[in-house]
Amino acid sequence: MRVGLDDIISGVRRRDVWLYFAFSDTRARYARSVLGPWWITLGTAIGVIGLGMVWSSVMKINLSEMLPNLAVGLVIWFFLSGVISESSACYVNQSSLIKNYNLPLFTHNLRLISKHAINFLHNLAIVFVVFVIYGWPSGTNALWSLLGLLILFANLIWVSVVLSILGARFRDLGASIDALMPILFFLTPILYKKSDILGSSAWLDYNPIAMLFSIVKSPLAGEIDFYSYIIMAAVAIIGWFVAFSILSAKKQKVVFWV
Amino acid sequence: MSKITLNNLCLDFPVVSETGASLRKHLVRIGTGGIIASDHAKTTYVKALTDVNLSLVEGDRVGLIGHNGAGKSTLLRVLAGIYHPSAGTIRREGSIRTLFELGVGVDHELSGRKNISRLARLYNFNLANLDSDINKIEEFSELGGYLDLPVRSYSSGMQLRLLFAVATLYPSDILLIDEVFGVGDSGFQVRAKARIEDIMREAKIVVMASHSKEIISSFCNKIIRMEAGRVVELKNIKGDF
Repeated sequence: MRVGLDDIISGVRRRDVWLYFAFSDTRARYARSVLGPWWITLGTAIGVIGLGMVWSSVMKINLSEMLPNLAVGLVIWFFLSGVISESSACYVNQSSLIKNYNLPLFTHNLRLISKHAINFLHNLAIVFVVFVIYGWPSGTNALWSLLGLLILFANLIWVSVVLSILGARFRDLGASIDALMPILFFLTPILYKKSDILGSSAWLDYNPIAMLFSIVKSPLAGEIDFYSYIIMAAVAIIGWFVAFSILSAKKQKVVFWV
Repeated sequence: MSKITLNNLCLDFPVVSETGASLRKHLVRIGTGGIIASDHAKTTYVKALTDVNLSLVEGDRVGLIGHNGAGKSTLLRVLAGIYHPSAGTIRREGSIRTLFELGVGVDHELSGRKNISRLARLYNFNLANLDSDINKIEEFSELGGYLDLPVRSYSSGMQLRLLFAVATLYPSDILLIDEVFGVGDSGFQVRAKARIEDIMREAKIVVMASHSKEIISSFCNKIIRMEAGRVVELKNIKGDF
């Protein structure tokens, strides 16, 4: 555990590297465009409006009910799925940095997560606009959602560490995750609410991704499932232990795998 | 006090086979109880370094020589703390600067100036001096107005000048160099050589891998000859060897 803990602590300390690179990457990605990072927001906005129109008519739901639900859902989903699907290639993509600079591995995870957090913050503008139009959630519900966001972060970080190490060793992990992502999109209550389901909802009750997603989103729709918070907090604690142990055992191997 | 001590250091470099790198094949193997695990799913280990004993002290200017694949770059990366030994120990005191592959960490869409900020962080410069650092780099690399243009618009010589200027800006206690000579046009080469001499003078220990006898005999006072991952010769030199 010692090696893993050291790596995580010294990784966090290199904020000069990971935070700067996350911003710098975002800047570089949109270097030659007029809107810059706001392209992220525009893309998500188009997604929200487009999907909102189609699915509100498919499911016979008012647009005014559909849009807030979908805006919040998509913004959380892009963050969550972005971190999960990119993490498996995190160390492989940074292989030249890993082989040339003596940086803690966790720095690379933090860089990836902050990059997605920056996108997430840009996308929050859409949620803001939707709330202004369709009304704000109550203060209590917003706090539950924030608590959910914290637990989501805590979980995504350990997931990212574990996936990066496994992805460096097993090169088809990334492809497997990419293959799973579209189906997970439909198994997560993004386009619908849990209360919309008429049949069995077992696939939601036993789906950790959906639960992780729901603790952020459901409070905003007025549904608070207390147990989900406890379960996901427990998962975070166990997950961090797993991440520490794998990192301790494999940290020195990663440089040879990438 | 700067020093480097290696004791019976071995490094086995794992090379994961194509099948070994497949999670699917691992699962199939577990699922079938390992019966059809006849393919080469095992990881091959290359003995990159074997029983290396080395003690470097202040004043040592070491030239690492040997054929391709003899372990020069591997040894340098062990000295830098990037590779961890599979057996044996390494003890190291003093700050380290490495000149390995130049250009790692550069984003070609960003300006030279912004890339200096990136590299300064990777090289762990004191960021309080970043502005004056950028001025010094601008002066040395003679890139002038190009520093505000994206690096993708640079010629390869200009890129090297920028990278070299950043990498060699500060001296360190221990300097590790892996074949980075011959930078830019002839005018710049003269200054590059002077700069290398400067930081080598200030460094307490220098280890450089090179194939050029000329460079080694003009910069180094010791040579280490490596063959197949072992140190086969270590001697003091003066001028020619």
